[in-house]
Amino acid sequence: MRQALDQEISRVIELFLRMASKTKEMLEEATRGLVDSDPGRAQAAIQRDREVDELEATIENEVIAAIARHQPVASDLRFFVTVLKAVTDLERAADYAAHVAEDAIALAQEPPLKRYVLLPQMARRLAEMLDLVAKSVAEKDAGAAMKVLELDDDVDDLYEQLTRELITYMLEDPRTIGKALTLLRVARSYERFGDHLENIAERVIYWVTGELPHR
Amino acid sequence: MREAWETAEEGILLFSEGRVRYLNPAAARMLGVDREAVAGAPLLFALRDERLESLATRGGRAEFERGGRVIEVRAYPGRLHLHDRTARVRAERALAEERTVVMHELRTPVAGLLALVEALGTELAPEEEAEIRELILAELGRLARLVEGARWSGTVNPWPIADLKARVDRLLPGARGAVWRTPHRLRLEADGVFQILLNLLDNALKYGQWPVAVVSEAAPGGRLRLEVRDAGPPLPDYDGLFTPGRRDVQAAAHRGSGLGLAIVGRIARGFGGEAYGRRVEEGNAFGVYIPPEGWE
Repeated sequence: MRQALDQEISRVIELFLRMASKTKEMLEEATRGLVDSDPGRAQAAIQRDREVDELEATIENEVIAAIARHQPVASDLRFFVTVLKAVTDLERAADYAAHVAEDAIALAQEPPLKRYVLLPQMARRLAEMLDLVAKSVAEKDAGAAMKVLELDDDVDDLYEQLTRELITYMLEDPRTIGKALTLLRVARSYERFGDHLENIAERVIYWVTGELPHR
Repeated sequence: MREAWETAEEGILLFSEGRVRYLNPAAARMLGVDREAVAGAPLLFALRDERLESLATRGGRAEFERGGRVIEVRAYPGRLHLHDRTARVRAERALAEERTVVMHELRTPVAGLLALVEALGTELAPEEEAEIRELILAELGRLARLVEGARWSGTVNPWPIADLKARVDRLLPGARGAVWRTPHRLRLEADGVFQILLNLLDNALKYGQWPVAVVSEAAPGGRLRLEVRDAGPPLPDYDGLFTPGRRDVQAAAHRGSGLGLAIVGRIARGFGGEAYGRRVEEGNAFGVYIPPEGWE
């Protein structure tokens, strides 16, 4: 009985890692599409969103079936509940990557307002956060989840920095308002992407320790 | 064999039937995973990336980034070999940056030289022609020293800063309208100071607003402030603009790539001084502090 439950848990973790991997790929494709003004790469990110949606549905079904079959308690129950909520956050994060890709396609139609520096920095932090989310789930590692929370603070700082600079930019030259507003929306998408990863990390900490992190 | 792998710098991961059978400490470090936690687990537990999982299945080579490190993976049937290529990639990036710096340093003087050579093709008075030939030779000499990697340092006989105006005007005609309020004399290599003013004036013309002025004045600590002023709007971050590769919104919008200022900073440090940017009255000033022994 226990062995069967462990196999189900392993199967769910593998599916979750697959979903996290696809989300990371979307994030990277969308960012490359933005930085290189490459609509093709951005389009690839958008197309991958459907795969993420399908995985979310698959994982939900597997988790509900596993709960019905094994009626887990304590840590096992917390695991399934954590995954059930985490896939919703991960799916929303992937949606934000798709939003970045859509904006990248729009921005690629004209010469860039500027060479993008802070946005790729945000994306690198988010990729690192995704790696840590995957590690925390695969290895039941609350420490990795705590690092995700720390990195999200970095993403928030970068978001604020970029917002200030883009506002200055618009005030000084109203002709830049259109592009700057689109870039603000991209930054907002990255920031929200990070918030969803933070939600997942908090739930992983709850799963592993039985307590919600105090922040 | 496994004993050797345990201490190897190269990462080794063995797998079969889609599951991890062994990975050495180097592989665990590069992948950022706990060996115990992933032993016997599906391959994706260790690789955490479907693209790497696919590579393991079909074979081949790829590079990926994890935890700020660049890892090269070579896939063979049943095993992956991992190498940390971070040092090589960083060296390549540094080389590319250096190449960009050199191109930037050469661009303005080369454009000026072309204009001078074109001027030689027109009808000139003998003394004008001689002056242009002298300028071309001086510029070529400076560029030669630049290519040879000469650094601007040490002291020389004092010379008036204002002497550079004619040379700057020739090479950067757009700067002719700039006012020079430079009553001081320097004991520094003129080529270095020339390069500083060329970069600062070039930036002021491209990204600042008229009127533009070159100013020298005594500063606290016995130093001399030599700066180019323009009437541009306030910038949010002056110090950050001297960082090479710092090309954020403001840098890109108002001061080009930031590379010109990074070069100014490098030359200033060679003099024992430092570069700065600051807000002055109703404009911006970018310049260098020259140490007490470098001026009079």
